[in-house]
Amino acid sequence: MPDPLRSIDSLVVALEDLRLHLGDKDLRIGDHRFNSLLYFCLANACLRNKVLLLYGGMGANKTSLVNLLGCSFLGIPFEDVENFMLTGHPEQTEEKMIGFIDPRQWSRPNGGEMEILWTPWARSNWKVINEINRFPSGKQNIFLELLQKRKVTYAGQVLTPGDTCYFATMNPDFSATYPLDEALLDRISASVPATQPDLLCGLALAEREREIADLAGELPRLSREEYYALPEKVSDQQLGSAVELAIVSLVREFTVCERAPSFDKTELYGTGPSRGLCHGCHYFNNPEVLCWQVDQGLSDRARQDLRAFTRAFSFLCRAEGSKMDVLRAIAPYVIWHRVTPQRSLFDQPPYYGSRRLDLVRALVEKSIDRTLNERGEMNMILSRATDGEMPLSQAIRELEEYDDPLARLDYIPALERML
Amino acid sequence: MSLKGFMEEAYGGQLRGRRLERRKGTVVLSLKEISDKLEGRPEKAAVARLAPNGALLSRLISLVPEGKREALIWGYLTSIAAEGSVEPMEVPGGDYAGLELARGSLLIDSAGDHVGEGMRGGSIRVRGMSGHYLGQGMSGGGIVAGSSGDYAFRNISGGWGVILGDSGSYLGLGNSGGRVVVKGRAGQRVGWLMHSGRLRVGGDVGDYLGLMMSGGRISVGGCAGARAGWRMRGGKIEAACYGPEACEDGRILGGKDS
Repeated sequence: MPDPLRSIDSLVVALEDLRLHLGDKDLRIGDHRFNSLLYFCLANACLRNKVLLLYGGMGANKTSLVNLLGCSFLGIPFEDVENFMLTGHPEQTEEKMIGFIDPRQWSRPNGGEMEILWTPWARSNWKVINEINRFPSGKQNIFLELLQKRKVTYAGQVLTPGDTCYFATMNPDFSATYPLDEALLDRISASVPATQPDLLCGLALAEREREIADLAGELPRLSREEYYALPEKVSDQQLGSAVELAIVSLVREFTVCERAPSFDKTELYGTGPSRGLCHGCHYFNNPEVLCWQVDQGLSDRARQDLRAFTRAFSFLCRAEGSKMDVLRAIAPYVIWHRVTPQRSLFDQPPYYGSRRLDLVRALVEKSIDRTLNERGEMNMILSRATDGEMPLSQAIRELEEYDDPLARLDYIPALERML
Repeated sequence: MSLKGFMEEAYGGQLRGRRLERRKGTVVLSLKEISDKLEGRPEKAAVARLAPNGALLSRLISLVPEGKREALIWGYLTSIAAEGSVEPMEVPGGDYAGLELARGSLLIDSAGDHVGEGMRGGSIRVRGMSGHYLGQGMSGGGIVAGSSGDYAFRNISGGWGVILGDSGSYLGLGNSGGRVVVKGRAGQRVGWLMHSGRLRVGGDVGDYLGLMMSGGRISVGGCAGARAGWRMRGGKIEAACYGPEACEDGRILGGKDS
């Protein structure tokens, strides 16, 4: 049986020894600490058809790290992995990115099936979109069809590279960048900040004398069997009921809104908590309630991504027992790029209008703690009513005593529909 | 699995339910916000209701208050933080630190005025100098400070205070209890209008020691200035030596005009 985890461990050690990636161990899972940038890249490489966005300033080792990992996971030279990279700029077209119709076929005597010349990027199942926010807004729409898919279509032809690992990088807003569309952001499974190396890491990196491409050849390689075994190893990780419940409750808590159509914040258009939607609302300014603290709701993709990355990290960290610590650690990275915090709250210390990940981390902690410690009774009422052990009307009456937005805006309407 | 079975597995038989706290409008991120939410003179209970927890409270304490109203709120917040902390709480120097402190400990490098005013318990340690009105109106607890300005331990009814250096004038004015020790010198009118309690000054004191005092005991290691015990109606004064016109009605215990 292939043991890809051992190869991944030796890859992590080699990246540090060769001074190819050094960074603060800023991600805490239980008693262990990891570098978030590296481990999110590894987790995404263990998953398939998920998209990881590496977000940070120039020269923060985003693109190089992804290419180095591609080189090791796919077992191919560094130069070849660089061919699987697409770089954003306004002149990119679908023909340059995906493929174009081979013009030579029209001069052949016998016409046949139309031939497309697919680009290496389209053919690969390790796709890197470099500087994704340098694509103009209209061209970003091309990715809506491509991301998280197993196949590529162009001019009626279908290319099936199969399960693919997607990576994207982007800088903060600069003069030549474009804002990312919300729908595209929702297709990004997780986003991890890439920070500049600190002093000690900088000194260690200064010891690197050789070119990255040369050193990449010395990295341990995963065998083909090991690479293909990874998704199965990840899906073997069981999450447990508490984690599943925490994930669903977390997503719902971000999404419900008393004033949105169908109590669903994703249905809002042109308004939101930052635009005065919550003025006078019963829940507004209650720090225990999440709904007013972020402008957008979360889609079901967020739930899927939370499950996938919790499993992937559980596999990478060899987590045993409850995976709640893993969920607590990774959930902010899955959510923070999908939501915009309520403006007046976000602008205040300790967030200063810039620490979005910290704010989302605090909200995630609050939601998970609440689900585990305070929602037990109301969840049991809901489940007993759903299973027919309790009259629906009685359950609704009892749930009405809870001032929790989930009870009022999710559980009670669900039971009312069953009446 | 039924939904009930799923929930039971999720909670592992440890069901807990708490109704959502109705804390509408309690997010406060600055002293001004608390000030705006309070009517009239700020009171400790009202400030405690609005005070955030944890890092946010520490952040509020690190702010510099603007005006007396915010300074009062800041003082209450330092007390609330110290009362909720297991470890001694280090706070920056400012007016009203440890206002109405009931328990816990505060550490201050160099304090402003009104430190430990109205405190009922706990302890305050000022490593450097403190300003005027140190420990004014306290009824319990203790304060140790490097030195103090005027009106230190004024109107106290209980508790104790130690000044490691010198104290200003009007030390122990109107006291009706408590014990105060000044290791260095003190200014004039020490123990003025004192009803009961004890004062000890290791060095010299200024004029009018124990002026119009009606009870309690004052002990001075050095010399008292002029008119010690002037118009006193009760209590005892003891000093190594006295200046001119000291009280002569038998309540002076130590030497005279030495």
